[in-house]
Amino acid sequence: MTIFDAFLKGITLATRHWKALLVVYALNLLLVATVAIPVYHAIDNNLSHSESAEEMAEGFDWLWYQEFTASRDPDSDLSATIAPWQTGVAPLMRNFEGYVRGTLRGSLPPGLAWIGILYLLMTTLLTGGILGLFAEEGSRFTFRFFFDRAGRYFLMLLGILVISQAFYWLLWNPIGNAHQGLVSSIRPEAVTEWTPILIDWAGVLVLMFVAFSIHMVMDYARIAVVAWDKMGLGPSLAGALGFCLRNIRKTLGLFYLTTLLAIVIALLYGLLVKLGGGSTTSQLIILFIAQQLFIIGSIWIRMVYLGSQLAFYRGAMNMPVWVTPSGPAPEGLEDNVEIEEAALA
Amino acid sequence: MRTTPGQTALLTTLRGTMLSLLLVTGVQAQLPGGVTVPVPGYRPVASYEMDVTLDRENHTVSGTEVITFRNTTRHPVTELLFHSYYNAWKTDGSTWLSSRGRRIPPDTPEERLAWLQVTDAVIQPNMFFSRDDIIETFAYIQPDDGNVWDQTLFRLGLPRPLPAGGEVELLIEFTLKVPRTFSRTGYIDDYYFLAQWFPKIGVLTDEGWEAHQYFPVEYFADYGTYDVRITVPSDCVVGATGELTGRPEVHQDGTTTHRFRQEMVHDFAWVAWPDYLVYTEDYEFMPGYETEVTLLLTPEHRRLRDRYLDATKFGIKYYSEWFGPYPYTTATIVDPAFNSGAGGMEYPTFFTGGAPLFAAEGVLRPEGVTIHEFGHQYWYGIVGNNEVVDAWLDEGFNSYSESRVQMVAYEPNREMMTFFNLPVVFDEVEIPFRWAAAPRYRSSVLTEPLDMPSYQKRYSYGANAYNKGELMHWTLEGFLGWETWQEVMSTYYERWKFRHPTSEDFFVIANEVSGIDLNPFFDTFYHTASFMDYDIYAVENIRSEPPAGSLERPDFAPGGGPEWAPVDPGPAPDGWLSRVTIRRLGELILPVEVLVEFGDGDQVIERWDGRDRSITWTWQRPDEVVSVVIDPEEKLVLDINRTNNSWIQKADHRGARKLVLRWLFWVQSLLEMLVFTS
Repeated sequence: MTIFDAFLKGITLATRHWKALLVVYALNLLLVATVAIPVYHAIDNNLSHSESAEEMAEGFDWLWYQEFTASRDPDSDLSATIAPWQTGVAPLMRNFEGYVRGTLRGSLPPGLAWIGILYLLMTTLLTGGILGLFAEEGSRFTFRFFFDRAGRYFLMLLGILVISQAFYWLLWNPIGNAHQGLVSSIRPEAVTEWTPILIDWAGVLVLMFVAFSIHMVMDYARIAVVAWDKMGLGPSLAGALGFCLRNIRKTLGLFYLTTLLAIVIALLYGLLVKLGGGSTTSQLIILFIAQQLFIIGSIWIRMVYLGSQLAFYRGAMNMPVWVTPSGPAPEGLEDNVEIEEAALA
Repeated sequence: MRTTPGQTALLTTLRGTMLSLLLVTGVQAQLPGGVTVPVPGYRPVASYEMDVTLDRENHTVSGTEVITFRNTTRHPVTELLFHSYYNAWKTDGSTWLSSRGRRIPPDTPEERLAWLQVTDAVIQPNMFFSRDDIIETFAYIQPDDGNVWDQTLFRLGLPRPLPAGGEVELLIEFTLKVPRTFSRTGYIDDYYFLAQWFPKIGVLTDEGWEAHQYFPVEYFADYGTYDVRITVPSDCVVGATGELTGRPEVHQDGTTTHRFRQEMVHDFAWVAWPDYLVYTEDYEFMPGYETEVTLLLTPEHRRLRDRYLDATKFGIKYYSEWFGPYPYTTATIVDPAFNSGAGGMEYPTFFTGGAPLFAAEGVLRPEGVTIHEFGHQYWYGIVGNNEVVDAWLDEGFNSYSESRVQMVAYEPNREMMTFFNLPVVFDEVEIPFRWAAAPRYRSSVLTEPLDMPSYQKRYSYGANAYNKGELMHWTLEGFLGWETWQEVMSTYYERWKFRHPTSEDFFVIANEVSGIDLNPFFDTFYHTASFMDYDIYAVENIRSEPPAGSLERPDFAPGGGPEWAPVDPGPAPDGWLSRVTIRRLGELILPVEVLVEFGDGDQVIERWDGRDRSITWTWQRPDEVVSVVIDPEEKLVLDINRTNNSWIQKADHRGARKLVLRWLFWVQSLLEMLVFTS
């Protein structure tokens, strides 16, 4: 299977299982909405009866923003985290930079840490369901099927999540700090600003590549767990790493092809919100729809990653179309031990 | 020739009398070098002729200076006090470093530190003194804190008192070690920026020497003529205070001497770097007034050339129009080398800007810093307040003037952020020039009063010096109107140019020109840390209805007791009884206007002198009050909370919805990004 075939397959799978996408999206929206409501009330109580309300509606009242945030405790009040940069694609860029530099979690407001952890756990659960759906040709989304698969693989995927944190810790702490330290040590004595910036960019490219690679290997480990029906944690990780290394050009090619699609979606979003604007009810509804379409698009892209990589993995491993998890092992593979061996081959 | 003490006393008296006569009659104004605007009566107080050489290998500058100092006080003086600022970075025991808790790491190489060594001091013969070597009287002193580790101030004793009006000429030999940048002076690689570098005499007043040890604040010096010969390696481009005089002299040893001369200034700084690009333009900023604008630009900022030059020209133009014509023949902007640490600083006719590599359009950098540092030519340079004590008189005045130029000359400044070192500008977020200083001022509004000497402020130097001062100007401009305030400022400039005003001198002029007694305001503003805050305490709308019950009045029947008869109160008032109560929360008071709007669209402007703690207005009108706005024209920029200045009956939720939608999206996308860390 070529990476383009796998890529198209991934798109097909992610699109076909839009109901699974909606489940993830609903989780995302509901979690954030629960904390957004008090934030809205805090802002509205302060703003709506003041002269600044109109200015804020039609533009951005910088002074009101300064006064509002100065009067709030950022450690206990989420409304203190509203900021002028939360517009257009800037939040996406900020998040992405945080991801690459390892500051993403630190940028979570204190009151949102639990939501972050909960979302990670929940998406780990739902990824099992998504992969279960993708893995079985012709499967159709039902809550029962979806959550059956989700529950089936959860502990294995949780294990991968935990192990992935060790890899990211290594990336962002020893390596990321070394990069930051290098830039910081060069910067004070550089006679041109280009020097620290170019070194920073080079380091960022390396960090980004390694972060993407970790995520890719972890994705293949998740895929192995499902594709080989509850493959052990060690074999799935080792197998995924071996698979990626053996097929390094193709796995990276597929990953970056999908990443390209993510960039296109982000650019489309940027264009859309740049054309939009205003604060009438209809304009705000349009903004909300655009934002939510982007979030749905992001989740869809995540599913495309999984679907295309699964398709590629199975193609490369010459796996049969599907092994029903509860059914017999595929021909020639009598038990899980052999499955694991095959995965490691 | 020696004289007896009696002869000396007689001679001194005669010379003093002659000089006093000269002073009284006034010296016919001539147009001094480097200056385009005559200043009648101006006479230099402290002038310097210097001849110095830069040794790039050892990071030293050595040479001589001849100081001509005139005693402008009413008393004779027996000693001269000098600043040796570079010794602030000789040891971390110095007041400059220790007051900030800064330590010099033990492994710091000597070449990164600084020192200034005076190797000789010889009085030159003139009508008051004969030649005399006084280096033996040299002693470091620490009048401010007794810190013996501090060597930033020294004294030289005179062999006899310098009489009032008398002059002394003193030749000083010195060597200084240039540091790896402290406080905007030093070197990096082959870039040298020399500021506060030479032995500099203090300011003598009738109360004695006004010369402090070097605290982490700025400077104070007397006006004079600087004539400086600087010898540097020939590959260097040199910029400095004043006019380049004559052609540089190229020597056979690979060095070149550049001579700069400037009259009517109180400091001298210079820069030397091989890589500078030099752009020079003649600029006629007012009919008949021209100055030469020179930009020394780092190659990596080549594309900022026009932004620097335009900003400087805007500064020259508007400061000249508003306060008085720019008096010097040159203005040199230095775009400092990266990491030189020299950015954003003012020296006479010579100042440094600063900009990031990717300076975004729409974000006023380098413009803001360029206009600000140019503006110090007026507030610091020409009007020479004591920055060590009353920094707000230059920083606050100049921040206001700078913001005003930007407001007139540019589109509003924008909020920006950098992502992966690249700027992203938020066009929607305009930072209003008049309010830009407010958040920083508010953050330390209640700490220290403005009248605390600047060098003693621990927590609020910046907020007081820059922000509180700037906001006062915007507030009084709003209160009195621009025409009046411009007249206050130009009068202050005209009256105090090339002199040393105090805060009180400014207050006097503000009262005089405005015709209003602003002293109650200035007293609170300057002598306390109190603040201004008006807020809407209550708005009540009560529908008028016929009162329940009845009124009765006694009616006396003839011969009998009172009989009670009903009273007809007439028709019940129609419409609404409305009350609005405004409070004053702070002690800083200016009269305030309050705009009240009724449901039928009628508007009323009420005026309150603000003296009481609160005021209530009551109206009986057909429609209720639908909005109240304190200070609707936003004149009182010192008000620390504008959100409590308005009340609109009909809630407008659009802004809150917009903000929360954006916030929601940020958190949603953040969560999705978080999944990538698994």
